[in-house]
Amino acid sequence: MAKITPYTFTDGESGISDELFDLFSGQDGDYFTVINGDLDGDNFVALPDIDYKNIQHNAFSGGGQVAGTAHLDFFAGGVGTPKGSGFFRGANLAVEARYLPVPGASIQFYLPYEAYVLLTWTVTWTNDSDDDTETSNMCFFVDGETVGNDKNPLETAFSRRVGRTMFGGSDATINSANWASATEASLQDRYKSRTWNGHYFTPGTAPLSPGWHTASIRVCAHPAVKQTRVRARSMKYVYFKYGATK
Amino acid sequence: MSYDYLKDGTKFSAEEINDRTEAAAESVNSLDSNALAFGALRHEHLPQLIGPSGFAEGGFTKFVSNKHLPFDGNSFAQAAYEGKRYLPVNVTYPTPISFEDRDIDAFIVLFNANVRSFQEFKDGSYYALNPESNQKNEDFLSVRFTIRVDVEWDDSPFGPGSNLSLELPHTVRAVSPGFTFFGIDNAGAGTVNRKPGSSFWNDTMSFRDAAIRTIIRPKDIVQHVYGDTEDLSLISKIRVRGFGVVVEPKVIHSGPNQVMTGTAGVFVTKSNLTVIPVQAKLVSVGE
Repeated sequence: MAKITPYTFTDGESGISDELFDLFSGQDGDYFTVINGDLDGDNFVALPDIDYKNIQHNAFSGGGQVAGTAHLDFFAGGVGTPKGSGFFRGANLAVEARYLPVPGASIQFYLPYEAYVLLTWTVTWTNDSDDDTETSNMCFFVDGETVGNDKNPLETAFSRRVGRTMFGGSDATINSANWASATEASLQDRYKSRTWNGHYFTPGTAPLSPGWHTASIRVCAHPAVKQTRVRARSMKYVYFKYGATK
Repeated sequence: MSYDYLKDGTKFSAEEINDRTEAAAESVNSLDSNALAFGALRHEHLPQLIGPSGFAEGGFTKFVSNKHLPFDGNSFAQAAYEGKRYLPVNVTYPTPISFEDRDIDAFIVLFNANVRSFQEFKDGSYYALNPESNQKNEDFLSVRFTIRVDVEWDDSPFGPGSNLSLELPHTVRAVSPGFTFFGIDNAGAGTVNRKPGSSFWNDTMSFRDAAIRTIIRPKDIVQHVYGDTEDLSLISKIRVRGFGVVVEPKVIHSGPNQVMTGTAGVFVTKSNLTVIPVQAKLVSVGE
């Protein structure tokens, strides 16, 4: 409450220095100092209709984004490659630390106040592998950690994977007897990738604190996956001021 | 804010001070809208933009429902869907939300699901689709996801407290298996007409992600409950209890070389549902 009720002085009154001081300089009370940013609805005759002109930029919400389209190739460095090559030699898809942030799908953002944050992203990626079953995985991280009740990248609801893109061959080389060994590298037709248009919203009980934060889509592949190619990707954030809804 | 400064000769009495402080207080206590400067209100002055009005800080917390599962699911029962079913993600409210008095202006809804694979449901069992049986699953199979809105409705024939589940058409999204076409007309012995439309391998690893991004307005709900009316004041008779998602595998076409002899099924594992009630003026483009 910011309504000012000034102290009433009387002639001849003594010992009023505190009242006089507070009236003009007192803090945390109904004093004239409320004009320095502490006025509220109680100071208005009638509550006015507030529109965008009255509101400071980004006072309710704000946002930003990053994106990229250049192809990014992540080579696993598995069997048949020199030691030290590749990103995912010996990688375990269940281990957070083996996931690498994808440039263009990773962002650092600043919150001027405590806020709920909506993050949305798009990532398109391809698994180019000889292996039938091993996958290239994407997982969402906030402030360097996965999210959810179970933070294992394989268990959280905020991860996706893609199996190998089809290897084709000539008519003569593929039939029911040898399809699994058909390895001629010809990516075929329209479904070469998987796209994840994902989203994350901070839990209602856990808005993010003011200050800097990070959000990223990170990639990891089984060592048997020769190459994971990331295509178009983006990461966007929108923050909403946290506070009373009155 | 007005203040009459003391001048030379002004008597320094309690009355002179009181007159000035009372006048100043009166002007600060009776502001009108003209007192609000451009950009005067900072975040410290403003309420929260999201959630129904009337809640203290942190009082409204129900925004998200996430289903955390391994990619293949912990169990068959947790992942398999045949026919029309509800997914196990729900955002429900302890107290139904009203649109009246601008308690809420709209709901922003976002949904994602990991579609592990498309299946054939036959004789009570699920089967991976078999490309060698000429099952052209890519062309003819899909799975639809629809946002479900649970409301209570004063005029309901079942009583005002009864639940009505709305499946709003503008929220429907679908994905197909998304398999690479095989592209071979004449495969070797043991295969039957592997043609475009057949998957390369049994459809056990579809890995498709379905996404819904939509807004649900009072108009959407009123017209679904009362029919094609423009009387949006009827929203005062409706309160929203919560949101869910309907999953429905579909066979788009069936013919002589039909896709399957059973019905469509689908395995869905990870899923995320976010519903953000928002208090803001909505502007619809293109209506």
